[in-house]
Amino acid sequence: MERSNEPQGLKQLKLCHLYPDLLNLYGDIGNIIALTQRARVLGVSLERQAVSMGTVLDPEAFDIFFIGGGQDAQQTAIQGDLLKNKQGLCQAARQGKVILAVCGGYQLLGEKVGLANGSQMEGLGILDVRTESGSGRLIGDTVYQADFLQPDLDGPAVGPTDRRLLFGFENHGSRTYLQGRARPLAKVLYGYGNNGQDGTEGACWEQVYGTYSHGSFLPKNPAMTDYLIRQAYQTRYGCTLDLPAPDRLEIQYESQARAQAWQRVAAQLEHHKAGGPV
Amino acid sequence: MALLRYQLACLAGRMIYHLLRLTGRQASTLPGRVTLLIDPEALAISARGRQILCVTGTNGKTTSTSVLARLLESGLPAGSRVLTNAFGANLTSGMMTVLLQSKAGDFVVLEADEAAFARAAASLKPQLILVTNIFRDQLDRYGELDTVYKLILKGCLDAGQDTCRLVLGADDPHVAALGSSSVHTTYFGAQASECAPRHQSGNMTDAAHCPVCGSLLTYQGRSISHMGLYRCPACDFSRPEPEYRFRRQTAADTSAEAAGSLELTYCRVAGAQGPQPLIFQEQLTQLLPLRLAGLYNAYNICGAVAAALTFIPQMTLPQVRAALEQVRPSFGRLERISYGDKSVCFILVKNPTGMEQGLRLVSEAKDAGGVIFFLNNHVNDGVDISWIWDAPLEQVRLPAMPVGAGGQRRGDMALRLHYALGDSVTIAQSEDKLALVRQFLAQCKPGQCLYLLPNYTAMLQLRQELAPLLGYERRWDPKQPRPAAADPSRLTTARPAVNTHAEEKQDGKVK
Repeated sequence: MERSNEPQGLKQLKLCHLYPDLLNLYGDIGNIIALTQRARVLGVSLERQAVSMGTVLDPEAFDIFFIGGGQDAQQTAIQGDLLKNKQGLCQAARQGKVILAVCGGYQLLGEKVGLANGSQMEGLGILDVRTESGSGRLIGDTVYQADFLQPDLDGPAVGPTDRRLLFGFENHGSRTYLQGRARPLAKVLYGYGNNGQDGTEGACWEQVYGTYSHGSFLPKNPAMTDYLIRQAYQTRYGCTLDLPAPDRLEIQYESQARAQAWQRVAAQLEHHKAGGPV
Repeated sequence: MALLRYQLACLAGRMIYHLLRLTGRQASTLPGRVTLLIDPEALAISARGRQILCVTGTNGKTTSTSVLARLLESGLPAGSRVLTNAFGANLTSGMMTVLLQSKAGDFVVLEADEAAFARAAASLKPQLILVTNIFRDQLDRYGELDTVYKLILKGCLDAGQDTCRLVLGADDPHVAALGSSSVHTTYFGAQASECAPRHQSGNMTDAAHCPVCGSLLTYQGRSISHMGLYRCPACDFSRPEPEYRFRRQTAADTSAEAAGSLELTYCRVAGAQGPQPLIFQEQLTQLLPLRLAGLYNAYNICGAVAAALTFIPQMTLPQVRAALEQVRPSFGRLERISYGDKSVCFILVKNPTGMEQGLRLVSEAKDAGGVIFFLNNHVNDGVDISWIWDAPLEQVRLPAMPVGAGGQRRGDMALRLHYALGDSVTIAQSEDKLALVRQFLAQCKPGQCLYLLPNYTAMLQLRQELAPLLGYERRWDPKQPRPAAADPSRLTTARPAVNTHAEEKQDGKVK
């Protein structure tokens, strides 16, 4: 993934990939690939380090943390190890470092995770969410609207070029509910989201983001990817990352994939575009 | 009453079969579906009196099934009939369709989808089960990876532990672990020389865990993805020593067609028919014909030979050789069709390992003049295409050649390829598959081959749409000789009306 022909003097960011050997369901690695590729476009060299069982994290050493999804068995296997790093990860979150967690990883960022066998697992408690096991899996294409990606815009998004739109795919049996200080990452335009009931998707607090969206999440959402990299940069260097000239911000392939994703669900989104209730 | 219902069900199924054949259809699933609709017990009843062999696993089922069927044809006494489900129709409906055509005493080799296998094994009571491997495949259909293992394990247990023999890939930890469910287990695997001490791949997503205790396995060498010479550092689980071991002897020409030979080392055993401990008599090393390229095909052929020799211990070496000489690519697996002085080659890719191995094969082929991926997400393919990100395409060094993407999810495929191959490679995209193939063929030099890498329904559509261009029959018949060379002047003929819904989609593998 890393390119060797990087110019000298690139600003560096460090990415910690947690439990890649255990939490790697449904193409989660695509998020790492997207972060690495977009960082390069933004003029940042992103160095990835895999961290798995038995390691005590040094939160100071990293700028972005990524936790992927896993099956109940893998979640249970890492839970104890993850809790040993609770202090470190909480500290990182408070310092404004970026944490992105998908599906099973998202659940573990919350307070409590109910498992299919009826037992309950303690999470990191970084995000104020709780997860319950539900009957029937929530599977399918998703379209969400995350207003923080383009705060100058109001109203519903009208097409795939709108950067607020997040495209993904969800596949989860559990339902997650937001409480207290947790804010939703986005609102659901198409799909189920956190629980299929309240129209919310994912959760965020400070620079901690949890989502049920994989398939993979970041490749088709370069605005989100760039946002995460810029936030991490801001926290590390205390200044805004200057963007390269617009013509160097190439997102041709990303845009095409987004346009096709939009087309697939466009019919169902018609009433949304007309401003109707979702 | 029950018998009447069964006979009625079979009659209906057979009528539909003949009607579909008359109208030029493949008729590989619908007849069986109707039969089972009328009598759900039909599978069990029709399996009685037949010798059933099942082939399951996530990858290599179709090739293994077809090679095993050829080996049986060659090794069984004259007059024996061997039937099999071609076209990858591997759900219960497809299996039932084959059984409809069988009579008592027939040998039936059934390719079985993992979930369908778990449901059908108790009814089929197979004499032998060949399990190829368990890769991450179509996860949104099965939910989770461990589920696939449990499905296959259930099928193996249902098949009857006293009578059924298991032939298992030793190099896949989960498949090897199935061996504890039977005393009649035969293992096959690769020699150490096929398992390069590949460094743990950077993204660790092909890491494998002990099926017994869950610890991270350590590897002395890996062949494909998580397959290789593994050992659990925590418990005593390790790769079993295979009775059938292979290594490839590659031919000088590395184009996909000439694949060299397969060196197989195995032990002739006595007492193989009963539960008594096996006694090794002699160790043999033989050079066998290898007609399919790629390490995964060497696995498939070795597995089929191990299954055939387990099933027919008295089978002779010339019989094995004769069968392997005739091995032809299965439906869309490395199928090669010439087009004037150029050619196209189909490689079915439907999961991360298949995609990486497919691209690797293209990167090693000296005749490659271009490559196009076709990605659909029809329900038969699995609607979730996130697995394309798990394919470690970054590890393949592709020589400069035109690269394209087609199919329903061409945008996602192009983005995946763009990230893997870098800015210097332009990924051509088109909704029109035929136009894309024409454009790429025009760029091929004489003698070069255009590699087409579709997933399942994309393959069916592609074959239909390219039929007029390449001049083969739309209906694919494994018994027929290879299609004749196509006439390049067809390049200029107008595009005919194309049935975008390939037949398999209509009466296909919908659950």
